Amino acid sequence: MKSLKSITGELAGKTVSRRSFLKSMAAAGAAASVFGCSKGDDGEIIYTGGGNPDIEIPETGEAKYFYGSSSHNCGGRCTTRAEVVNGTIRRFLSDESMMSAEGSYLNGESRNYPQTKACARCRSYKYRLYHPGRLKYPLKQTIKRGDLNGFKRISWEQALKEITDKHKEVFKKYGTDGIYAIYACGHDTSPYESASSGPVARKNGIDNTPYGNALRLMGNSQTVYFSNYSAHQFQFLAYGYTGAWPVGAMDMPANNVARFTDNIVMWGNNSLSTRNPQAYASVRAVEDMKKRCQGEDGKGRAVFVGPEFSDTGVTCADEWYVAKPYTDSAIIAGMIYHMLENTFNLETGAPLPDPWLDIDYLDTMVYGFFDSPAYNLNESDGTISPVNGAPAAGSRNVNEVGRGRSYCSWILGSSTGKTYSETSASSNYTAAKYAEIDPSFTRWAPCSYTVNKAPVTEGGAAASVYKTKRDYLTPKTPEWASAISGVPETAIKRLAELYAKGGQILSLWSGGMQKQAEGVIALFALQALHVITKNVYKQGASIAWYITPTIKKASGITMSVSGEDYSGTLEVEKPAASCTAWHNAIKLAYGDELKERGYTGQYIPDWGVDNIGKGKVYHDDGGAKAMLAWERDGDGKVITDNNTGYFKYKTDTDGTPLYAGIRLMYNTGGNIFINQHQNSNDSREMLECLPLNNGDSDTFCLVSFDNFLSPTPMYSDYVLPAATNWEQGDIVSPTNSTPIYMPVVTPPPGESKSTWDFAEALLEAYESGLSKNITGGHPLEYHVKKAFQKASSNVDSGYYGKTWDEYLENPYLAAEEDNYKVSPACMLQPMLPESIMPIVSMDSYSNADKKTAFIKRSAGHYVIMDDAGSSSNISTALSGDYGNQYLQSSIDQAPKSPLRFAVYSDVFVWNYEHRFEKWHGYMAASGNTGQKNEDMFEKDPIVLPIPMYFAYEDYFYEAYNGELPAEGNRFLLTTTHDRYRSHSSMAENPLLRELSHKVPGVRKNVDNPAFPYTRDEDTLKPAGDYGHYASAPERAFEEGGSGQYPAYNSAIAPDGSVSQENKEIASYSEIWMNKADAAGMGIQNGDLVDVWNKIGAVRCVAKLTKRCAKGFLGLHQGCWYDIREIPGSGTGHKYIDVGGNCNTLMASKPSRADHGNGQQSAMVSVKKVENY
Amino acid sequence: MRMAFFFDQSRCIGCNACTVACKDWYGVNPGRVRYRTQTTYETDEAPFFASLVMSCNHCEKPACMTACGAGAITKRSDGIVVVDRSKCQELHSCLTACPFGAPGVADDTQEPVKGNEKWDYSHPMQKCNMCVELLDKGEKTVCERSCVGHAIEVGDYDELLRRHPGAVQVSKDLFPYAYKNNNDTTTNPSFLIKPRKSLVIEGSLD
Repeated sequence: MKSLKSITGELAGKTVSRRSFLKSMAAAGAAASVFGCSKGDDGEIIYTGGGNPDIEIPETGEAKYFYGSSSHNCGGRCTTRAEVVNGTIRRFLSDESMMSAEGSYLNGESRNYPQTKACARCRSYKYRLYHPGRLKYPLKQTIKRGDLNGFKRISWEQALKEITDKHKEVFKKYGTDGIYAIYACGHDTSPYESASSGPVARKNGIDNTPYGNALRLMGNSQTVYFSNYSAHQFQFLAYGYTGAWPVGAMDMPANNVARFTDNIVMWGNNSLSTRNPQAYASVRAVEDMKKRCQGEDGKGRAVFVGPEFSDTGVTCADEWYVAKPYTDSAIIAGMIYHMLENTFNLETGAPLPDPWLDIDYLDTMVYGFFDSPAYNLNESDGTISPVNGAPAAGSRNVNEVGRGRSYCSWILGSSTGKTYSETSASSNYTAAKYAEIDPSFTRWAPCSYTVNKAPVTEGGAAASVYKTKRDYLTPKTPEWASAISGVPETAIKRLAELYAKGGQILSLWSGGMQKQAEGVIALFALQALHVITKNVYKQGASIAWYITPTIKKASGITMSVSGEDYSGTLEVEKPAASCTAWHNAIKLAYGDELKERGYTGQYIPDWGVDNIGKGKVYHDDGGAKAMLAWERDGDGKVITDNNTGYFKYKTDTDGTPLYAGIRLMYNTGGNIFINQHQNSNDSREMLECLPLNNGDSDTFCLVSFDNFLSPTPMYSDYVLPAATNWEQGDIVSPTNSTPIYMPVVTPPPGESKSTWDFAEALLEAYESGLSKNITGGHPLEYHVKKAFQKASSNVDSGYYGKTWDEYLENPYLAAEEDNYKVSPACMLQPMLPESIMPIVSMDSYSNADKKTAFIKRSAGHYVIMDDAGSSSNISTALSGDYGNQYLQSSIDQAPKSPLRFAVYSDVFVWNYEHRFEKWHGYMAASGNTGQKNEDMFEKDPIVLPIPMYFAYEDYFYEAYNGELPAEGNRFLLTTTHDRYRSHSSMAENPLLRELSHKVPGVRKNVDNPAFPYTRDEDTLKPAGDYGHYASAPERAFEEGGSGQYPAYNSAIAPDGSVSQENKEIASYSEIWMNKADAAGMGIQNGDLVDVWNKIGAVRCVAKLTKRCAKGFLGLHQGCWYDIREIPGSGTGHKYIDVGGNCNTLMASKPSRADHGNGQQSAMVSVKKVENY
Repeated sequence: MRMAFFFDQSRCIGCNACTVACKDWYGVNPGRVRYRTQTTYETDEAPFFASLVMSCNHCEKPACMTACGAGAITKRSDGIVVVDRSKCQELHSCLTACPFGAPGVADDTQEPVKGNEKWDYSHPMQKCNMCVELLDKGEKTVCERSCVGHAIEVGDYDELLRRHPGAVQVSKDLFPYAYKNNNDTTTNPSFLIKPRKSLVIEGSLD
């Protein structure tokens, strides 16, 4: 085995053949395309026209094998192996280990089989690495963002000098507050090489300091934000909700499913596609559950609820309940109604003899299912007494759940129940106390939420423009839910019975259910369903994202970077705005400039040009309004004004607040800005209207570090070429093994740098000698070697006694399956050992006297049960803090947690209304602080304490400013993650494009014309534009370039037309459409269609299928935004996105309560494109 | 000995790992030739949706071999039907003969002609050879090695039938969608499928 050095030496010798490879690519591109390829000043290719990735790989020569993985954020991390011949990767293999590192045989029939076999993404990785469109040199935009003709090749030295000079200028005027690293996950491996969570901008240092990154060393400029784009609604609910948090488990162990779960309900689940390393465990766990439950009535079912029957559904489900999207909480309400009518006589309010719901449990443990009076709660023994002024120490006053405000009251609509004393057994301690405190309190009353600021009446409801409110007094019967969701009434009743009487239920919600306009509320409703039916705190009942195998990992190497040093820097306090709030932070800072230069906000129909200006933002801002320049003390703490209680902000010379917003944005390995945030058109318009960076403190500057000129780099001021896995040394953590070191096995293209080297160069450009504080003055491999040496002398390590060369040859330590271990009955993860913090199960509680709330306040417990405003310390590093800083005077008035499960949460509402309060002192004079927005929803509160169904029509009514798509051509569209991209990574990969992109028209059977294809599945034409994709216009980087609009698909002309010669190759993303719908619209399989709403328009190929519900369109996530100016499209839009990026259709209006990315929500029209 | 494919329709997750791994392994560029295809077919009756992953079925009576006038297709004693691309004369009769559409012919884009000195014709037929070189070395096929759902197995036909109760031979009656190229039911394909279980659909799709 050769040393790493000799391998890299060999790689260096490979450059000649690589260049000849590029040359052949260029020739192919020029021959096949009118656009051709681009050259830099020295004639070298910077970014070529496509060309077929016909990679020249020697067929002979000794093959070497390297373990590793890919870097994209698909939700998993499978183990792959590269077969390398003379420094070029010939092919990729996957994990094929037969034995664990401990020496045991791995049983392929086990649900915990640890082998991770790569899916199509990693299997086709060679075509990504050697793609001719890879970025090779730093580029600087000189004309206008997005204009390819304006890109000039510059040196790394020039790029880094200009970027760090800009950094210093911004810092001089705005301090740390004007600098921002946007959330990104395109390269997501380790703290050493990850793009956004690596050495440039990672949240945690290798030495476990918060924000141990290059930006911190550059003037404490580290970035703080809340959450991520994948789980914003989920994380918010975990944080802002009072009561126990069963959704806290992301994953459910396969062993628990196999041994304890009785039924599985998948709420739109597609985890087999998004969690590939866990996919086999999921399939097998479901099989094992069914096997165990065989013969038991009503058990062993896997039910899928949703509009698009995902691959997960096709593989695992026994039943598909075809539901419209966004209607989950209506279905749940209908189910609970059915449970209630099997628990009470709803006419008389009297309990039935064999009730489906446990009334005693609901009274004692579930706050707000029924209306209830205010009371004083003894925190240690759970006893209840009437409120008598301020609470004594050790007790708390719990607010009433006012008449008609409980979840039950809303579900029953206009019905009135019986009093507690009439409907409870004498042994029900809580009910007895309620009856004592206020004998007149009935369990439910007519819904009393407000319409136009007054409690709802029949007339008031009828007068509202909002369907949500028109339904306040409507009983939420299965029939009602069926009309909304499309799920038959009988099926809703069966589902209700399943949850109430079907044993232990596992709900798999996947990610999509929460990434919608009402995603927080939908999860809240699902959680309420589990709480009400006691499907929590049991070994087989839970709410989880996916099922995972239980494995034992071998002990590997423990990395550290000796010499990492942040002394002299600070952990500065900053407001933690939502990770999705950056666009508003730019609007806050540059409103005036945007308006002056023609930014119209036209893609945000509910905003309007009058509202654009400095210091103004769109909608509830997700914390952007807190992004001023702040006064800090010497420790980096923000100074509080003792007179007002607000934080002190800096002011401009004219006394107005210094709206720092975002002035310099680092985008390392991400495509959020243009592509993956909702509303690509608005982001583009904003970037086009902002003046280019001129180096001063006040022009905006976007720096992208990436592998491809994907849409966000395309619209950046500076584009820096990045290496990726296999081209840079890195520690990766395969899902089912210990972390391993991947050496360089193939050279990075052109001048692209590893992230480690980029961080080092950036720091050196900022201040000579600074980089050793982050690297210890050594290359990454030095630190890996040290860690390895430690491991190799440790008898417990899997590497004991091995040499470095042996390690490089096989660093992989396969894990061992564990078929016996099950997670405890309490699905919450106690943070203290079980001996100190006993695990309490639902069953043990149910058998007790039910006097004490079993979720007691206990420090360090995972359960979130904070009081409103209770967490008032600014956290600089934890993403859990989301504007949780309040005035003390507000906190004093805040509601208290009931220390029980809550399906009614006034804490949730209070936190929403007060969030960021202390940061908003500059708005106090207008009476406008915190987050509440009283101008919407007819000025009624928009966040309510119960998980009611908010009608999707209302979201679109607001987001599209009252103009819904025409009746008769109105479709609901969501965007699931399929397997042929990872978010927007791999959009360029030809072996994946041919699985997801289609040429318009239908394919005939060319091999056997006598037997033409008869099935729609066979007639779709796979993409053929590999030589035309991810290319740039001719002469793009030369003086006076071609003037062509930037385009990824050069087979489609700038006006959207396709020449005759390209007709059989030009491809578009497929969009799934129900066959019956299509028949009514005159759309046939393979037809080219435009899909549009007020926000944008996309062009796709229709795939007709019965895998989606009527009235629904499925456009899968991650295609690259690629617009054409197409006259007369009839969509009302000047530009149509022929790339088919779903986010072109997603409104800017954030999701309710969390102000996150509700970006799987769109209502659209569709029509066939006749001429193109 | 009759080498055959077994495919578990209830475990296939439709991920295309096998089809892409196959292309990557054999250097088959993007384009119309694809030794393996994955398609989720839709039927009017339960199970309504079913994944079919199929390549050459190495039939006992290969229609392609009978049709080939150049003698390029042979059947080995272990049942594997192999094509010798250097013998192919681009007569293309195999393309119409195979009921499953397994043989493929590339175009200039997918298979650049330059450097193809190994055979006289530009694009001789190619198809799945069941990874004979690997099998002969005692290794497993690429598709079996890559299958995420453990849904593919290659082995002796009778042995596979024994190992997988419920598996049935691919047939026009049970899997009509497999016969996408013609209805020749006489080839006796070496392809066993464990069918997907039933599905109940609540709600209307029509």
